[in-house]
Amino acid sequence: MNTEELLKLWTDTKLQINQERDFSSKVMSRIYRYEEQRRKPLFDISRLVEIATSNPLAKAAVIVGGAAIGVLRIVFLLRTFLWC
Amino acid sequence: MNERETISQVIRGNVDAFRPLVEKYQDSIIRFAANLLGDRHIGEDVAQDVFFAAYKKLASFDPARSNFSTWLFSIARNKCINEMKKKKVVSANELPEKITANNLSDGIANQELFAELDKALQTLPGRQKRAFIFAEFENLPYHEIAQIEGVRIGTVKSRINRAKKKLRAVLAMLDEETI
Repeated sequence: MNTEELLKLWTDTKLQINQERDFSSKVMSRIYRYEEQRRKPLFDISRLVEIATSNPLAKAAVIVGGAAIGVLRIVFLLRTFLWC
Repeated sequence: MNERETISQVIRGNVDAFRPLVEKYQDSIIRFAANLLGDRHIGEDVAQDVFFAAYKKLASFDPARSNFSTWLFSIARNKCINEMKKKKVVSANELPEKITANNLSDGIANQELFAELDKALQTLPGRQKRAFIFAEFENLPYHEIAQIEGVRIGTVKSRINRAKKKLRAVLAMLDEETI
């Protein structure tokens, strides 16, 4: 068998593919999950909680936000008492 | 229902209409990604990403500019390039191992040769490898390859010829070793 024939034979073998079972189902289920997430309302409390608990940055933001509100409340309280 | 109508339906919100498109092109996309990346499993994962990305940006597909398959292959090409950047790059200087198949039957010898050709394919420069795979494994016409790669038809032809020349040289070298 010459070089050309071997090359042809090789390319022919590369055309054959064992189709993966359920490939399209895997793609579709990923798309359904994506659509489900996308269609959830933006200000859904449970979604906000989910984001805040799953993302370390969101967790840090919630803690920093809470701490800032606490400090501000103390400052306002002190200001009210000191100025009275 | 033709392909354009199917695409319109998906864009209008019929998610299920996307499934026939996946089923129609999954073999080509998996095969392309698997051959380009040299790994069937990674190829399948990338192919999943390709269809997911295609679904997300389906509204940007313009049938006046290209076929759906060309557009899909463009996404696959870009995803594979990104994946190859993540993967360890196969050295272009790495030559295939020589076959010492004195006592092998023709079938096994061919399999060994094909395995070496697979290795040689992976050592080709990315542009030549893609052009070769598009032309020889996917049977895409030169103008479509040129569109996907964003180059002229002449450049595509030259890349394919260079790839073939290298693969023939590898085959010739392996053939000498087996005789």
